[in-house]
Amino acid sequence: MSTGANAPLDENTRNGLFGLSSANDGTRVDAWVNPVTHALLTESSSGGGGTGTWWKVNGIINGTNKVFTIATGAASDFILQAGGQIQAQTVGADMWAYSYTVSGSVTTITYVTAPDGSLSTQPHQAFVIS
Amino acid sequence: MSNIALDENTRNGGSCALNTNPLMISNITFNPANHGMSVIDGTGQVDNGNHNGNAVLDENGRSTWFGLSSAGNGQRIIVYANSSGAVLIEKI
Repeated sequence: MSTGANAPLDENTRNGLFGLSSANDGTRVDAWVNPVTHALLTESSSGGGGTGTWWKVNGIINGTNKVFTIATGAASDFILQAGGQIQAQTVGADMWAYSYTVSGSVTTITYVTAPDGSLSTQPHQAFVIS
Repeated sequence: MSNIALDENTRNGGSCALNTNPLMISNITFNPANHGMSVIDGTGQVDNGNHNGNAVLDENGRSTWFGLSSAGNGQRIIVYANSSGAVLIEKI
């Protein structure tokens, strides 16, 4: 294991934030904080960043249907929201995990698990980053 | 003052100083569906104190987050979070 810089310590020997280098070489890197705003510096803007558009997700929610569409060709992964909750963004093991395919100006979304029928009256939408 | 969330092994979760009163503690929140950490743009935040650059402690002596100043002078700066547990962040 690399023995790069050590964690900063305060006067009570409490350790400050650090992580491992994104260069994947095992080097430890200190977190930087704006001294005026006390905001942690990050490489992306708040909330994942970027501008984009909310698209209505088309398809019936009845507890069994897993396949839905949005009327745009998504150029990258996107955020899905139903019932006021942000759902999983990529394929994974979570209940709301999904995969998607793009054909022209239509993106077809397939959930691993069908959304619960109780969400049928709730907004179902996707935020696609520009 | 609220205390830092602990797991079953009494290891502490992430926490910051509360942005409106940095002597208070704000436990960081995460989305239970996608595990994303709650964050909010902190660029307009007013400096409400730095606790002498020392981590704010809860009633059990557990410490909150701090880092080094982006001014590059080695000063220790405590990290703020709002009352909803969203960490104040700023794009480099």
